[in-house]
Amino acid sequence: MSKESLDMLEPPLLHFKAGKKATDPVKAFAILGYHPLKVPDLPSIPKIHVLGPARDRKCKNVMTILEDLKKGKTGKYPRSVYKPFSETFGLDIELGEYEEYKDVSNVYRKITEISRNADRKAHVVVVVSTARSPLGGFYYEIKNTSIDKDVQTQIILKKTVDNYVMVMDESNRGDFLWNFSFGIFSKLGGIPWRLGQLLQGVSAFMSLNTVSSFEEAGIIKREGVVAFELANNWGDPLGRFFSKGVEVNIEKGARVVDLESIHILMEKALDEIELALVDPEKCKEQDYIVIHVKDRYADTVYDKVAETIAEKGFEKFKIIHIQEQGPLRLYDDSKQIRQAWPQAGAYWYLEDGRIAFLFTLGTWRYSISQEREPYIIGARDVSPLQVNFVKGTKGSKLITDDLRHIYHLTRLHYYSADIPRIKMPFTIRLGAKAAHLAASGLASSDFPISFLY
Amino acid sequence: MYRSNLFRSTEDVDYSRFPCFRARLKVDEEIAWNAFKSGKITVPHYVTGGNVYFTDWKLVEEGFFDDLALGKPKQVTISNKKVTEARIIGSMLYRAINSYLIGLDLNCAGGITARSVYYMPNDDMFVKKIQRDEEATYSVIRGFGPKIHAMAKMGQVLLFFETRHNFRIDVARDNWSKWVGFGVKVKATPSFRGIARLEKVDRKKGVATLKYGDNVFESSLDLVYVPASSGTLGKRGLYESMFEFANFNEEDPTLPSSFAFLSNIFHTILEDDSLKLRMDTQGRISCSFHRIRFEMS
Repeated sequence: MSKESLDMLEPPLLHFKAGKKATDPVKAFAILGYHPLKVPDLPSIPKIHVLGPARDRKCKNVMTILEDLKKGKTGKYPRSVYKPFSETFGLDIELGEYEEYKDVSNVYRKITEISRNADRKAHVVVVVSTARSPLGGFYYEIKNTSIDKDVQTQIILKKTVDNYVMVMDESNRGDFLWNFSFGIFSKLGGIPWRLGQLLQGVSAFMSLNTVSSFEEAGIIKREGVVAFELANNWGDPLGRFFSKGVEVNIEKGARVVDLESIHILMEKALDEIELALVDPEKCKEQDYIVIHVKDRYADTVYDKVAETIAEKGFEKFKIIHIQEQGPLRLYDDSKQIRQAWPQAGAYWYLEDGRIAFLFTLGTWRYSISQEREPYIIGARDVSPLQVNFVKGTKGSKLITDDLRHIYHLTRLHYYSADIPRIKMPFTIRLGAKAAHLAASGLASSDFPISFLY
Repeated sequence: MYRSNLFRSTEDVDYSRFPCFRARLKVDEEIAWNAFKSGKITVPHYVTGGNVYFTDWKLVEEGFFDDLALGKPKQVTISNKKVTEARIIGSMLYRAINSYLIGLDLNCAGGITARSVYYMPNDDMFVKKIQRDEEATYSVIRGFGPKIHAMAKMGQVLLFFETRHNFRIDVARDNWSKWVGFGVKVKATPSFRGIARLEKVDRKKGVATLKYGDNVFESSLDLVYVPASSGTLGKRGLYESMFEFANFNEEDPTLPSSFAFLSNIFHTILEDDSLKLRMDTQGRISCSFHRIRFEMS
């Protein structure tokens, strides 16, 4: 029998208020009594507005979720206990009346009304959507208005509302409420946690994302978008840049992007990075610029990225391709059901220095049990990320620190109610969202980097 | 200890010294590829750099290379240390796996290498059909395929079996009028590879009028097909249900787990958790792979 060993990365230490650190946010808030790193200073009590589609009475059940979110929920299992919002986050919330919308224009109107208020930062609009949206669809239209008007929104699928009320057990409801509450809190301007340790050896992380041009029934469209999302070596958002109307094609499975657009956007991004460096000269010489991509690009694109980095005086870089569904599947046929899967942080090199598999989150749940691992992956097959080294400065290769950084960057999705599903570094998700929003009509990337969607 | 869907070559073949044959071509590579294709040659082979690499001397004895090669083919040793030679090894192994799985009565859709989807026809576990009488027959094939890493470890080859799927739309000749305005492709026309718009159908003549950009051209209806893209299936209101069947979802317990699906397949295609591929008729080269187990270090 052929055997291989999986190695483990330690989970990242997260930093809470007053220098408190923990690896598990729910354990930190629910058991240890920690407080969020930053509670926003708002001009009024935050108000959650709720809109659901007309002629669909079941959507009104979203109010059950919001009432539980405000008041808290008890349960017999540790994970099913969710504390009241004000107790956890030090911030009371007021719930608005449930309102119905007939079409997207009603949602615009609501967002516009709120945007006229001086205290708009203290408002979040929760919108129930009946289905997932294609590019340019309902979700993207609302998010673009939300950015234009500087009013935060949280979209929730009707399916999720139905599940919460009719399907989920106590534990699942607790999990959901924790995730949802972090999303609402951060959209009100709060920061529940940040990384407690610097990601060593890196000046900044960039993610390169594109929405490709496509052909449709004989009409050739060339209206791609290229977007860069930046984070510093603490994983804090640093910048977001996109360009529209860019030629993006797919040839032999690789994306071919207009090189001048890449060059111009990267120059802006690298200027932003340089401005944020404490010791630019030293960092540019010693630390890496790490570029994460989730799609395959043509060599010409990688060459242009490398060339621009060198032109700007950064001496070290790595381009790392992260594939969300790596092909490796592991199955434990022992009887230890709850620990049946490699824990988050398990990794294995298929090829030294070039290809690795890394289990990040997948479908996992918060666990606030003292005895168990903080993140339990469900007892079904979970796919790891496949991490491929693409290109880098001479002598560079994929090392375990690169995997550690990716793993740590997956813990910063607190703004999303979809936390359990997100396996990728948050920079990739935000960059991909920016590209999709731009392809759906968002005019400019000139909005605050702290705006989360 | 974790069972996996990953296999490693056994030590009896050293892929840094892999034996095969090489024929120097006297014709274009494309002609050589077509000769293999039209002759339905299943012997593992690969054409590159003006040479054909293959694993079975039987082809030489049968005179297959008489019109293709300069002189007599030679025995050579290639190494997975080199990019091109690793690609040759990988490609020959893909073809050997294809022969092996076809020999087990599996069908293959979508090509032989990275996009291949192996499945059992007429088995509900693998195929779901949606018949819409005046429109088309829509099929989802839920199957599996190999993914070979020939260069990852010196002297070794690693092989995954992963789940894959393939969608199809089969339009009967009488139903083409329902597809006017949709995007279609044309088979066997190297000069045109894009998606054209179906403008008009002449059922009697069996001709489709297509538009691509500003160009309008005709094609035999027999050569036209509708690519089963998510967009087209979405317009027909079928994408979600078809994808649901194809998807192996770790989040949804009502859907099959990909590992459980693969485990079923492994019962059919493996013997003692191993896969043995015969590369030639003489039994001179056989490539075996053992399933890898993982443990926490």
